[in-house]
Amino acid sequence: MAELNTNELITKYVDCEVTDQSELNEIKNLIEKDPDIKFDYNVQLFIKSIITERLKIQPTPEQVRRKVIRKIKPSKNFLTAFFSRKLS
Amino acid sequence: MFPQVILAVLNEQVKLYSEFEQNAIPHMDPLYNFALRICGNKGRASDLLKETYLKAFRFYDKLERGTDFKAWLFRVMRNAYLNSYSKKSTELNKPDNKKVEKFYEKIKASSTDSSQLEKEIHNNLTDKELSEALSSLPEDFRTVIILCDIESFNYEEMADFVDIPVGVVRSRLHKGRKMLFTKLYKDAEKKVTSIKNK
Repeated sequence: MAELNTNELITKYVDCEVTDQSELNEIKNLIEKDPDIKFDYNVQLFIKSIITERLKIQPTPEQVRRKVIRKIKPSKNFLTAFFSRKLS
Repeated sequence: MFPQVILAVLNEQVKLYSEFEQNAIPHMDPLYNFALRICGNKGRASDLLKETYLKAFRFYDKLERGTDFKAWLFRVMRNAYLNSYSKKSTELNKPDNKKVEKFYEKIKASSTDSSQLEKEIHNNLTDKELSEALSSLPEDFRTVIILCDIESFNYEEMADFVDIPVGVVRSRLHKGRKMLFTKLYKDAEKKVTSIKNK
């Protein structure tokens, strides 16, 4: 616990990476008692949630997906792939 | 003899491709999204995705069995980005870390409650603006935020993928989110001022 600075501790807590119960209690206590730490915690949490909520995973456009598959399919480029592999 | 060699090569390629396809294609959406966020536009993201799959397929037979395939694909993509795409991007607009820290402390000192600030940012922010703000962060910080908050990687996976210690992942996440908050705060403040002046 002492090895980590408070900033890193807050981030670890926000990202649900704290597994140790005593560490968890200690962080909660720090956030509750210190307004500065509470502010940092809220900022970290806010940014994480706004990104997660607004920038969702989008499916790859069908056209792009097809292009990628076409590029790597061996029927068209097996000789190129074969020789580049032999050269590398 | 020659056609037989060709046939054998083709068979080997087809077998390899089918294995590669089975492993790699399911990761296309997360990879495309990573490309989209790191490049900042759809055209470049598509090119980066194509390049990543081509490179990954080229080196697929050299990949050690048991390697975390998803993390490897992301690493191939990031290296491709760093080698060719990041040079073309506007890394000149990197925010000054000290200035950001100073401004952040100023906001903190003047605010008793962060919820009002959050509300203002939230209400005045479009998804496009958020995406642009994220793209404006330096690559090191942007990468960990994308991986953690969009792609849901855990710290160990990120450390493995970016090849940095877990402590550096934590530190970059903390600083990166602070930078983003400061940028969004400044943008929201500008917006509010311009509305008031109209």
